This record gives sequence, structure tokens and C-alpha cells, in this order.
Amino acid sequence: MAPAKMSFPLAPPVSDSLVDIQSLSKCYSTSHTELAAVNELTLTIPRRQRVAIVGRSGSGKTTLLNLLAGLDQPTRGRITVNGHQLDQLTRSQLADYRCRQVGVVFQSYQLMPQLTALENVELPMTLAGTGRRLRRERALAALERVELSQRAAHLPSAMSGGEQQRVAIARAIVHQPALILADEPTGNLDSATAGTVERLLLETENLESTLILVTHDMALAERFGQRLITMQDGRIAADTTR
Amino acid sequence: MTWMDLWKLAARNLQQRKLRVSLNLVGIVLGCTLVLMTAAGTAGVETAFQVLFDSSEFAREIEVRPSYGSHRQPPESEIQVSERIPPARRQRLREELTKAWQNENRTEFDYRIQPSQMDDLARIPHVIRVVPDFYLGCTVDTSTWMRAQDDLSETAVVALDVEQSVAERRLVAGRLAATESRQQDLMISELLAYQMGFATDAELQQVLGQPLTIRFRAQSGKMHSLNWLVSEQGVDYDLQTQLAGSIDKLVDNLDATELSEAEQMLIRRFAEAVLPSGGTQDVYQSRSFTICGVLRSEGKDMNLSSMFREFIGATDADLMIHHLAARELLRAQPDNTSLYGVKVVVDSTRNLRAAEESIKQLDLNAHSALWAWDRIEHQIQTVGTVIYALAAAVLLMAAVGISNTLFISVVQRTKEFGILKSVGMKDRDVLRLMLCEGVLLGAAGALLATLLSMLLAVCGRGLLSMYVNYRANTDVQGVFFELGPLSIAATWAFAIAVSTLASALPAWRASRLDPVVAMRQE
Repeated sequence: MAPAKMSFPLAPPVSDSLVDIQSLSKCYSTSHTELAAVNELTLTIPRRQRVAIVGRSGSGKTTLLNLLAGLDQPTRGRITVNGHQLDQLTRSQLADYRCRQVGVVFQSYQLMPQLTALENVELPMTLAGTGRRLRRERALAALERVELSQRAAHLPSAMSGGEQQRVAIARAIVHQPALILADEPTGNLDSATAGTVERLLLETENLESTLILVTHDMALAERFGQRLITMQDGRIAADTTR
Repeated sequence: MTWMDLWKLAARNLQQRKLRVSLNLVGIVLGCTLVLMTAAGTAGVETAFQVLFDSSEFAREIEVRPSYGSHRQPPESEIQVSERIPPARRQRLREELTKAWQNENRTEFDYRIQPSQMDDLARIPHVIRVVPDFYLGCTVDTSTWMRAQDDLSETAVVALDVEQSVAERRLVAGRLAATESRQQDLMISELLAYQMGFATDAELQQVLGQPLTIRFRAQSGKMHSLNWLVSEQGVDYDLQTQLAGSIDKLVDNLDATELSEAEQMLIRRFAEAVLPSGGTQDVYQSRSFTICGVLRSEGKDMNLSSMFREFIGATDADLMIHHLAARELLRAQPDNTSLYGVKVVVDSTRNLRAAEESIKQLDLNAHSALWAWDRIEHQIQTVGTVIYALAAAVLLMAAVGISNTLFISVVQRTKEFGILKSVGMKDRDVLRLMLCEGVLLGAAGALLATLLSMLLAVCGRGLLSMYVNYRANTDVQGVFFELGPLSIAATWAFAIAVSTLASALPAWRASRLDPVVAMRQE
């Protein structure tokens, strides 16, 4: 049976949990074997919680983040974010979900090279069809928040790595998503710049969003998270809340 | 995503890839320019021919000839082909049988035009002049001529259309016959003046004002049919008249001969067939004229008028009178006067076809340069079609090139599409974005091609006008390349359609990209 079409804005949440994952698996098939990047994982994350997910390379943390971002589809299990069961959504509904419900900060920034910083920040709202004036207003505010308003008209190629990552943060928060995901946001940055990015991410606490950080840097994870989840072989090895 | 934002993003994407876009544009611009110039050239050449055609006085002439019975349709029983044969052969046989029947059933009147029919021709819309085309047999007194020859006394008068500019150009001395004094004015050929003993410019001035008496003969189609019995070459009016008189006498005295009744009947039928009803007496009408001008032969000027003149077979003659005087002269002739042809002049070549149709409705044959024009037009269209096909091939090649570069572009931009999808761009928006880029590319190519074509058209017009006017002795300006709004609009539509279609497959591929896989691309 085809999934029902999702209408936005989203219906009011039915529970306090923003993320509800039940027996989630994501497997990749090779010619001989099937590799489970995420294996029978069950997890619940309440609203406005700051979660850090740590683990070694190949532990499945980035795969989990992609599943939460609606960029990938699970092999088995159920994943519900803000009342939407992602494994039941069509490609178009998933795009809508990414556009309105999630903000993602990638390790390598992933900015559009032909668009200025301001236009990059506006992008989620442009895709959502938000009016020009409103999106400009919000994008400028987001750039102000990441202390880059003076670089609004610059192309990414004219900016440093740290500046580009700050633009990426502004893009992730500009549309006030329910869930902000950050995948190794300081991985490509030097320690001083990484500190700035970390501070900006921590400042998102005063937003209404839930923040999930994926990193292999245990120190960063400890500084950042109210809750620390350790992953190993696609499963949760440890889940501590402070 | 709104359409406005899609267009803006598409424009930014194209701006970002100047080199690739330029290469794509070259293909589109070449193809579109070829299409536009072909359209402009074909339309322009057609118009140029029309202008040249219109500028030629002779192209506005229609040669009217007797019907020779071709208007008469046989009864169905005469042309019925009942055998089971292919329809095309049946049709051919029916046509041949029709011609055979028409040949067998011609009457005397099928071979000539009645002078009174000239009035009917003059009443046809757009006809501005009716000029009898005839050789009115006559004799002139040559006794005082310095270089008189035996056969010069037998000559002919023709009607000259004095309103044609070529008549003015033929003047060697004196003037053309004037409408007011048309009954007296006579124009003679340069050759006749020479034979009369006037050759130099001074001598030609002397011939002007000289009186010349012409004795006209009654002309009859039946009388002319006797000519083949009396003369192997040329026309011998005296012998024709003598033979007609002899046949007339023989018919009157048939009873006195030893011929049987059947043989007498046969001779009577022969006489009835070949002798004019008005009798065999050769009617003379003497008229005195005054020589007002000497005209050279028409020659072959390097201009379109003489080209058409030659094409329609106009001939020269020794004695020429005003065309209106000729009509009046013909009316004054006995009823059996024959007229082999009439020249009808219409106001514009555009009305040739309609005038021709009206003439045919009078059961007369009409011939003009229209058939040549139709062939020229057909040739232009054929050449145009071939060039159009070439231009379309260039555009299709450009389309393949565009598609190819857009495919490469999709591959190179995979990561970008991944980013756009990761922040929420839908598959259909990716598809629309790529199609917008195709439309913009096509529109930009069409715009550049239009500007380039306008420039080429301006240069081409000037050069071609100069060349054609030099070669054809005309004054045709600025019609050789006509960039009409319809051809521009069609080219724009074609260019946009081609580049959009070329984008369709790469666009579909881009829309189906998996965002996670796409973002991993470098």
C-alpha cells in the first residue's frame, strides 16, 4: 500500500520524543556478503536534546546520520522523526522533509560553489518556496549569528574552510528545523577554527532544535553532548546521559 | 521551488560554466544562423525575382492566340476507353483521343482571333493595353529607293506598343508615333531606311517627314492557307490571290467540265474550305503615312526586359504604326480579316494569372512569362528545401553536441546535485532546473543567431543588390534577405526545442541521482 502523502507544516508531535528508531538496520550488499552498517538499532531522542554520537570509523555513525537526515533509506526497521516515519515516505516527501525538518552540517561544508554565502544560506528556504524578502531577512540573521554578515556576497571559493563551515551552519539553522545534524563538523579545520565552529554549534542550544553531532573526537563529544552515544559495529555500545 | 528561483539558478549555473556554454552556443548559433539565412535568402530571392519580374514591361505581357479548337470538349462516347487497363494509361489515352477529336472538329474560326474580340480583351480587369500582334500584308512603292530589291515591295506593317520604354530606346532618329497623330505617323526600321538610301545620321534626319503610301491587303486565314500551295518559302500574296481567283472560276464553270458529279462536289467542298466567304477579290486599301521615326532592331540588351522579349518571341518588322492605329485599321478591314495573335498588357505581374484565366474563359489561348516564373519559384523552393534540410542537420548535430556536453556536465556536477538534494531539492526540481538551462541555452543561441543573421542580411543585401543590378541592369534594392518575424519566431522555437530536448536525458539522469552517492563524488 502506498504511503499517505505528507502535508507540511507537520502535524503537532504526538510524543515528547523527536526521534524514535526501532530495530533499524542498513545493509550494504557486496558480491559475496551483506554488511550491516547499522544493525538492529533502537534509539529514542527527546526534543531539544544535544546528542553526540561517537565511534570508530566504520562503526555506522555516519550511516545513522544519513538515515536520520532522510538521505538514505533503511533496509529494515522503523525510523520516525517529529512524527514522520521516514521509511514510509516517497522520494518527494523525503525531499520535503530534508527541506523543512532537518539541517545538516557536513564535514566538507557542501556549499554550492556558484552561489554566494547569502544565497547558500537561503537555499533551504528557496527550495521550500519561501518569499524572497523573508528568506533574505532570515538568511542575514543566520549569517549574523555565525558572525559572517560581512561576507554575505562572497562566493565559497573566496572564503576559508572555517568560514565555509560557518556558512554551512547558518544554512543548517536558518529555517529553524526540528533536527540539526552535524557530521564531523570540525574534521577539516585547524584547532582554532574548530573552536569557533564548536562554539557556534553549542550556541544552537538556545534554538528549539534537537542537535545530533557525529564525531570520532571523544573530547569534542564530551564537551558538546548532554547525551553521549557510543557506536560499535552498527549497534549502540554505550548510551550515557549527563 | 518557484519558477523564478529556478530560472535564476539556471542562469547562475550557465554563468559559472562559460567555456562549456560558449561551445554549446557555437553549435546552436551556427545551426540557427543557417536556418535564418536560408529562410531570409529564400524569401528574399523570391521577392527579388518578383521585383525584377515586375520591373520588366515584357513580363506583364500576355500573348493571346486562337484556341485552335482546344476549348471544345468531345462527347464522352468519343473518348471512352472501356478496356481494363491501368488508370494512368486510360487517362493518357483519353487525352490523346480528345486531341484527335479536337483536330478533326476544328473550324475556320478556331484558327484566328476576331478583331472584335480585342474589345472583350480590353474589358478584362487589370488589362491596360491591347496590342494586335499581326503582320498586315502590304506593298510599298520602291521605285525611288536607292538600294531597292525585288521583294521589298511586298512587306508588312506591324503594331508597335509605343508605351513600352524599349520602344523609346530603339529610336535612332525622329520620334515615336503619337496618339494624336497616330493615323499619319509611320515608323520604319533602320534597315528599311538603309534600303531606301538613308544610312548616316544626317541622311536619317532627311527621311523624317517623307511620305510613304501603303497599299494594304485584306487578310484572311483561308487565303493564307493557300500560301503553301503557291510558295515553298515566305509569303506570296499575289500568287495566293491568283490561285484563289482560279479556284473561284473553276467552281463557277464546273458544269462545263467533264467531271463527274461526285468529283464536282469534291471540288466545291475544297473551294468552300479554302476560299474566304467574302469572295476572292483581293481588297486594297491605300493609306498615306508620314515617316516620323527610325527604329533599330530590338537586339539583345543585357537586361531582363530584352530577355523576356526574346523569351516570348517578339519580332521586328520594317513598317510600324501606333498600336491604337493598328486596332482602328483592323476594324476597318473586311469581316474576314484574320488576326493571329493579340498582345495584352496588364498593370502588374501579380495580376497575370487572373488575366490569363479571364482570357481563357473567352475560348482563347493565353501565354505569358508566368510559366517561367512558376519554374523559377519552384527551383527556389527546391533549393530552399535542401538548404533547410542542411540547416536542420547542423542543428541536430548541435543538439547531439549539447546533449553530450550536458551529460558530461551532469557527471561533473554530480556533487552539486547531491548538495541540492541534501538540502531538499526534489527530483522534479532538478529535472526542471536542467531543462531551464537547456531553454536558456537555446534562447541565448537563438538571440545571438538572430543578431548575427541581421548583420549578415544587411551586408548581403548591399552586396547582392550591387551585383544583381550590375548584371541585370536593374535597380532593385534591399530585398535579397528578408528576415521575417515568422522565420525568427520559428527559429527561436526550433532552437529552444532542440536544446531542451537535448537536455532532457541528462536532466532525467540528474534527477534520479542518490544524494548520498552524489555527495561522495569529487
